[in-house]
Amino acid sequence: MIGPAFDSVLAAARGGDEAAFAVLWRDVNPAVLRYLRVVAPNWAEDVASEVWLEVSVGLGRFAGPESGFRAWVFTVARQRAVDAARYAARRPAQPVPVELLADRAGPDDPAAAAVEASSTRAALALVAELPPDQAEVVALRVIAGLDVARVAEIVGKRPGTVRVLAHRGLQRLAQRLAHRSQRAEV
Amino acid sequence: MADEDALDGEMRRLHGLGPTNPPPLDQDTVERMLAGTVDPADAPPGYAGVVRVLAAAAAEPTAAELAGEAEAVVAFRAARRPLDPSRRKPVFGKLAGVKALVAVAAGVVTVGTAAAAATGSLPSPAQQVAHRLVAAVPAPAESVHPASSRPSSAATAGAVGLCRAWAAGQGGEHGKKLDATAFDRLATAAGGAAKVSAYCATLTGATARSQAAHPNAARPSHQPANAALVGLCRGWLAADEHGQTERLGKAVRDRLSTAAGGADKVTAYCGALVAASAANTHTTTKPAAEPTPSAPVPTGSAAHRPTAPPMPPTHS
Repeated sequence: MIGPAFDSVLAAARGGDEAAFAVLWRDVNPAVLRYLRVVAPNWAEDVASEVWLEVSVGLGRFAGPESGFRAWVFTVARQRAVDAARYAARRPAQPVPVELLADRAGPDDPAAAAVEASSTRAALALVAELPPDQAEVVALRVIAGLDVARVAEIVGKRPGTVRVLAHRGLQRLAQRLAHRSQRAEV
Repeated sequence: MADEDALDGEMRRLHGLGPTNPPPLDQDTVERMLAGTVDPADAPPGYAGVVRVLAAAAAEPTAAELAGEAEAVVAFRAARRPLDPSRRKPVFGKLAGVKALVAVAAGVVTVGTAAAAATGSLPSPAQQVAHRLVAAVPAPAESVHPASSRPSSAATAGAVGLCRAWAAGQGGEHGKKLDATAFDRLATAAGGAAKVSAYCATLTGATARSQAAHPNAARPSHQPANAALVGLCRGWLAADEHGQTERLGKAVRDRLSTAAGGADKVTAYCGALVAASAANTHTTTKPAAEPTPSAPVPTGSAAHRPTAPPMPPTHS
């Protein structure tokens, strides 16, 4: 999040200031990429490029607070991901490399930094294995950092439904992890 | 996490609970877990692993996730050229080429609009916008061929495109006469309406010669230029103006170097290619994956979409 400086950064970017646009991009792109890795894993980077082009084009017409900006970017990302899914005839199943999670080092481990990227990817792959509506809600809440109301707006569901989906998603994740660790014991 | 989860699984078996039944959570705990404010050590029984997974998913950005900044800025610059934003809805075909399209947007939107505007084939608001753009078409090849035998400084890529459009209208093959505004511009450049024919003959001839003199860049005019390369070239030239080509990304630089026949030849190659593509656009049939020449017009963009393109909301 950019915070108090957001308004001035947005105003500059709307005026065409490239450095200001870069600030917005750096702040939101990692989350956009991760969200897309969950909902459209085969197309994440291509779709992200498309999202930013669309944001660039529409930026001059956007007005609102930072949370509204993020919600807009993720709304665009969601729609472009839907398009991507339509182009992909049928998404092949994504094998989840849970082994990477099992090997994840603790924070004090000197190797932690080295595995950080791959553990994030593995975590996203695990979230992506949830039922799609749960996966999306968990991604938008955790990765995009959006509140229930914003997420409800983006996915077109009621806030109560969004809460239930998030709860079920966490339970399901716990289930999968427990199942995996049990298999590891045997 | 393996140890804690294993212990957790063991406890559950001792208590006769299956590992597939994690205890339900209260809403407050769910919220705190989603917000990342729960330490794995304080996680509810069975959820330590989940807390770690969520933390990994929301970890600090990686270098790879921030690597595309230069390209994003190039796309931003291209998207914000002096056009009415509402006319600039990009039209996308297949996703496979989207990354290239971002770069292409800089090139094709400009080039395609020049040709479409010249033939009057855009809807009238777009037509007006396009005329402003035609007037603003830069002359990327000027610095590449300072000694070329151009008729005047007006020998820009845009003028070449207008000449081609005018010639096509003269022959009646495309059924589109050059409209008054475009013709006026051409007549002004030629020094009079009667001189348009000679001006255009000289101009297109000069362009063909300068392309022929450039072995790598010259694509014969009957061959469609690789629009993706043209787009990359636009990005390159824009970055080159600011001495920032190294920020374009290795993949882009490598591709252009290969196409140009050497890293030191990229700028010359791109200048010629972009100029050539401006001249060719009128008669070029573009592959399906690329924006049509009338890309700035928002027709078709919604055709394959289940929902309306998101408009930037105005939040209070």
